[in-house]
Amino acid sequence: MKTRPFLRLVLLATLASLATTSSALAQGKAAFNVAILAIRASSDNAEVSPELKPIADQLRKKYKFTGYRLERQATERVAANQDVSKPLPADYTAKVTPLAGDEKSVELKVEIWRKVAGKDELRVNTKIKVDRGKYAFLGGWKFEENGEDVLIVAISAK
Amino acid sequence: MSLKREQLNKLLTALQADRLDTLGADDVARLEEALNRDAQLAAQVGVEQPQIVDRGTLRLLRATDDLPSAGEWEQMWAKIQLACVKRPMPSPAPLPRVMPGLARAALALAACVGFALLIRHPAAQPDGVIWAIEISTSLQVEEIEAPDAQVSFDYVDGDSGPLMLWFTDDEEAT
Repeated sequence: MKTRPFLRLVLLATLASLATTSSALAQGKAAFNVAILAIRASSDNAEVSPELKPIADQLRKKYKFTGYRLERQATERVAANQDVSKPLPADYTAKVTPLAGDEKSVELKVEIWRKVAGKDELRVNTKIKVDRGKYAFLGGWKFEENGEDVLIVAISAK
Repeated sequence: MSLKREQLNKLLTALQADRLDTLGADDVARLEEALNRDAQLAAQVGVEQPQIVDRGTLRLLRATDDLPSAGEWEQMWAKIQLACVKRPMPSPAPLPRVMPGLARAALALAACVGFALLIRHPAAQPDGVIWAIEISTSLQVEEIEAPDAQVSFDYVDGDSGPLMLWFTDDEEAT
């Protein structure tokens, strides 16, 4: 079969790109949708944001807080090992990096920082594995120094 | 090679009638020989030169015995015509080349590189709608560092199931 040089070149280049892509996927270079939520837990009210109603009862059983308000939410699609950094209330910042994933779970690197007197202070630096599409909840940081409300950060990737 | 008078007359008649083509090669050769040998005879039939017949012509005439017959010619022409019918149509002229080969190659490579980069490094998408909130039931903590805080692993539904990480300041914990 006689193949035109142009078509042959396109075929070769396509195969090369697919090979590199396959290699990238094998190395965990897939893309992820990352979601970061900031929740304010309070004892001063019983307000629950509609998005949080499915889990409010679970949280109330475990913690003293009656109100759970979704203060911020953000989603972003990134490649593996590419971080997503989002500002949270009360000068907190969440930095999430999807490292790898399979059908069931996603491995994430999570950092929570807070700016205190102009200086970034690390609150937590952790590597976790979470069910794909479900949320890891990390919380307990105070909103105000003398206040009772706390920040809960929920993180998910899929 | 001698000829009888009757045969010679026959050959001479053919020559004078300009019907040499009706003679065989041997007859032509005999006629040639006779005329070359007898100048008077040549003069009688109106030939000035003893060499009345060009040798090349005679050789050609002699060779006519070896030529294909009319039937063979017919068969040959039939084969030629058949071959002409069976011969494939000539391929159409190539389309004019719009782009030079190098430009085509560059375009193809650029497209493929772009495709590969697009897949390997997807563009960050703007903030969108979150998906349904459900606490992970199989959260695994592989590493954790929490300066100035104590960490507790809290199951929100008893001793298993959805797990939360709860951080308490060291000062508050004490």
